Amino acid sequence: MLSSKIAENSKRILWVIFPFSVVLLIWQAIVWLKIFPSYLFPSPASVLEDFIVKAIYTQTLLVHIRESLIRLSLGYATGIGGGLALGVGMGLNKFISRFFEPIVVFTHAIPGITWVPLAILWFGIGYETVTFIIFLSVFFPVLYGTLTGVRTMSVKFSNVAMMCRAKKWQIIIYVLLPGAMPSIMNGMRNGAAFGWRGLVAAEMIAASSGIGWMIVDARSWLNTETVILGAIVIGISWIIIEKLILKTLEAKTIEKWGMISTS
Amino acid sequence: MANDPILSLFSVSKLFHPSKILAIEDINLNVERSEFVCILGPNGCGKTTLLNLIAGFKPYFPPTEGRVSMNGEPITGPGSDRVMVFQEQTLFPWLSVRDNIEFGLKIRGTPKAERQRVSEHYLKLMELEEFKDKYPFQLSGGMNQKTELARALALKPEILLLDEPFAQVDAMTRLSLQEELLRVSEIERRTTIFVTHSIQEAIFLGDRVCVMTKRPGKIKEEVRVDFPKPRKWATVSNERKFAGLHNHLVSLIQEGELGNAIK
Repeated sequence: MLSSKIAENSKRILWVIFPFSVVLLIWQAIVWLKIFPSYLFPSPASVLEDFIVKAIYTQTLLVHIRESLIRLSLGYATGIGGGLALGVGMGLNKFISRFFEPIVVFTHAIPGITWVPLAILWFGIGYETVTFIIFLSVFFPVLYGTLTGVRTMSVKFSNVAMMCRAKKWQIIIYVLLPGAMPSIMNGMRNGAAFGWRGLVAAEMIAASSGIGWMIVDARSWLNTETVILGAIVIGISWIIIEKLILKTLEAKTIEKWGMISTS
Repeated sequence: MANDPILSLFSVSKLFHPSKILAIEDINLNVERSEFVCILGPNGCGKTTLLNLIAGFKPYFPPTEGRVSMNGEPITGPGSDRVMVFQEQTLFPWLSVRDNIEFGLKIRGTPKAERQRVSEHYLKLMELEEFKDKYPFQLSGGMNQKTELARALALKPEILLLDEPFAQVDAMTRLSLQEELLRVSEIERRTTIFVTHSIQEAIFLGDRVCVMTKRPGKIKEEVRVDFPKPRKWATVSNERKFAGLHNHLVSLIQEGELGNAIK
């Protein structure tokens, strides 16, 4: 039983390592064959070297990652909070819903990146602008998720709560939000993905630190290995965020409650 | 009358808008304290409307005509003095069995120690102890309905309203749930109104069976059932009176059917 589990796990890991090894090999082969000049197409070894320098000696990579993560957390926190609040408000109150619906539909139709120039004019280059863009990217999916969840929730649950003479805020906290969780979770998932893209894009235009900025800055100095390093860091960071935060949150809520089918 | 009824309906009718369906018409019903009343009728006879109206749920409540009063006072909406157990599953999927049972107490602000004492009591009474940490999706249909009952009883309602609570469990589980309900009901001595379309169930459970006609629902006849309690299927179903009552109720219901067919 245990040994078969180990075998299964190592097989899974092998099927991650193997495809990437092939990609790495092709990459190295192209370098060996000297198809492209090395300043445009650096070797895996030079990217690794750049990583070691930036992660251990100068530690600039860590600074950029930290900067990006702070902006991300701020944007996520405000976006999720705002989306939940307006989503519940619109889901429960006809006036709020009618008032905001057209505005929300219109604003949602504007891609987050469109706001960057205006945000730069308002907030300048730096934290506020990037966080604002992340906020917008997270806010709408969470809002729609919450709204859908609240609107589609069965009245039977609120009937039970009403029998217990629950107050409005108790119904929201104890019934509406957990009941709408599958749909909210879906919104948070989309929001997180959009926010991540928004972060990198906004940093490329409107920041002087962070992973996105690091890539753009490296390009202007023709440090191609740093550009590639940045892309790899972005990819790995997202996988960690996804597995560590979103998956855990899902496992502790809707999976545990049997509200989604686990595969 | 020496004993004032706990619940009385006087000439209650309900016309739904905009469908203009007259669901129930001129219902008169007095329920004594600690009495177990079964409302028996075919699907669509308005018995669920009647129950929801007593519970105070919209759009069933308020009645188009007539009065519903409890302990002499007119009812104004849902309340924890009347708790309903529904046909479909209404346990909160995000709460464990224990937390579901404690839900109403938590809403009322009952201290934790007291909540636990109450939930332990009902877990024991309903023989659910080993399932207390399970979530609703992990329960069988029978266990689910037992938890629904426990949750309702934990609120200590003056009247327990049961809307075909065993309709969706298999026939064998149903028999034991019925016996269990009577056993618990003997201990708790709580006034109960039980809606069903099963003639046998009505006879087995009720102190009194009210037979309803098809739409618009009226109470056609009230039949007293005086089998001694506690009742067990093995003994009750052998009683000669059981067959007699059964035949009588069948003929009452079929008269209605024929009447409708002629119309």
